[in-house]
Amino acid sequence: MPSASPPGGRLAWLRSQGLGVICGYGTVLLLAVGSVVMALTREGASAGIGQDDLTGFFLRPSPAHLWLYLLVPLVALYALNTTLATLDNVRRRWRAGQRAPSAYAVAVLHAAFLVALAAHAVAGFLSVDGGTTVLASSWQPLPGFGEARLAGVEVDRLPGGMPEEVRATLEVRRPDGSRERAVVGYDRPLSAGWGARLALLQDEGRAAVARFSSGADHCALAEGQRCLVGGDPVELLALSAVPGTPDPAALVRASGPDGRVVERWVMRGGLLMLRNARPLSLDTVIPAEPAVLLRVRQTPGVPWALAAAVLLTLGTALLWRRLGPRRPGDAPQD
Amino acid sequence: MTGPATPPALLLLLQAAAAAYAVAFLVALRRPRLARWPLLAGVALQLGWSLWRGLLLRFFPLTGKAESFAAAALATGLVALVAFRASRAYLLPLLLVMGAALAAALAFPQALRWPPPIMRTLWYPTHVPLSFLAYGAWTAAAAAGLAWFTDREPGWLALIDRLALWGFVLWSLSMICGGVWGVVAWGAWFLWDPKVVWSVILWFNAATFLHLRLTPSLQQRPWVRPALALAGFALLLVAYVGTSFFFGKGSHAFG
Repeated sequence: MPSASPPGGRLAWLRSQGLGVICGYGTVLLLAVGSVVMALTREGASAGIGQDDLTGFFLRPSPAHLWLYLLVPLVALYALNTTLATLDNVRRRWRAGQRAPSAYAVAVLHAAFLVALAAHAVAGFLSVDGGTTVLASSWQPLPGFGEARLAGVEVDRLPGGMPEEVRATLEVRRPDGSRERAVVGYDRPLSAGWGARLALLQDEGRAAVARFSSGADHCALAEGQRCLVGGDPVELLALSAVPGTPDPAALVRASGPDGRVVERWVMRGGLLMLRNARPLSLDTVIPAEPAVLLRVRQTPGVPWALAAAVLLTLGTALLWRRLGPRRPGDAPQD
Repeated sequence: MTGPATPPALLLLLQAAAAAYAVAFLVALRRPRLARWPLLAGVALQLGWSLWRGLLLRFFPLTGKAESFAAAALATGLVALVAFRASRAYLLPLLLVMGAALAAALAFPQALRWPPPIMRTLWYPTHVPLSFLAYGAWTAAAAAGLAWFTDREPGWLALIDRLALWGFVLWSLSMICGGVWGVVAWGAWFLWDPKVVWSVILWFNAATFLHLRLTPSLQQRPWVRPALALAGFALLLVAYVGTSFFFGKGSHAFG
């Protein structure tokens, strides 16, 4: 706990219990105001501030965000107060000969709080949403992981058809060339770097897939997917039925013969000329192939949050002696 | 079909629990010491109700409004049993809160609903019960606060401090479990979502509350902790009920 009666010194107030209490209740008040303001301005000033984002408050400054602009320095002061008080407390306990780990439970909890604040800052300013990627049988770029393709999907269903569990097996080709198989599902993302990069399952189902070829290069694309042909990206924007023909047409975005990006419809057996007069042909369209939708996030705050969680768990475990249900001098009975 | 068939006897079990709590309230009016037994009966009936629903759902039974409010009553009942004090001023408000929660549970549809796949994780049945037990601990702290205002016995202050600490520990563990779930399900342990923001508010409030006892300028003002325990209950109501019904749709909206 912070020092109950801080010794002299002009800056002793910075580590005082009273300042900690003021910062704590100030944080409660500002967050409460903020929750109401954000609910009221969800379609206005707070639109676009999602997940754990903090950048949105500063990239589009607004008087509606005043509570956050006040909260940031307040929390910084709170962190300074906690740091100074904890150092002082640990120093005094150590000098008094206290060596039992439980004597430092509160210091561990304070450390967890400080690391959690750092985690919020890292996550709030550095997290990046990498968008969604449809994975089917062909290799697709999966930002942060290299390339991946779907090797298979198993779905356990409840009576009525609702999925109970989804296990999608992915083949992943890392940027360093290594390959691995991974199973993803709801609550079971593909992750790397202690959670700093995540690919989260959003949906599963079946998707129409168009198979293209260009010389020796082949790729199979669902809507929204892209691949490299002769080193240039080719993206399938849409598949659409064509009256009078059994096969759908594919809307493709690619670099044309002059290097400019073009969007063209291609029929089965038809050709699209790419850069360097390289022809791209649509060979076939498979109407329904297993596919999964993954959302990719760069989340550098997660390892920090994990560290905070470990410290918080450790601190609470060290508190167990104080949690007994009854003590001498306890509450009276009628 | 969104869930398995709901046996009519399930509702009877919940109604019986409500009746047991009503008996506990009446007994507490006359002989608070004896209120422990009908309270225990009500908790046992509610545990049976939850277990039965869980067996039918083949998962942790907390997917709708009725189950949520019933869990709030059950958690408060469990804390009331563990931190039982034979005092009218303490028991009556606790039983009133439990009665209100159970009345809400009975007012909502009782149909069983399959949990969506995103709930089918270890982190859900750890995060949610720990949250409700923390709610129960803080509700009991508020009841002890009311009791302090009736007789000014210093023993209530010790109970308030300990219940606040229980709540803080349970809530911290709940936030850890919820945070891990948030990462694996949504890619973030924190969201600008009313329920999550208010969870952080409750954590800051509880953490700050624990420091009050040690603040020199507050040691001559014993009323502060009982008063703030009651204020904490108001924050709890906003976090639990307010964010689900009055802040718009969020990630924690009831099904």
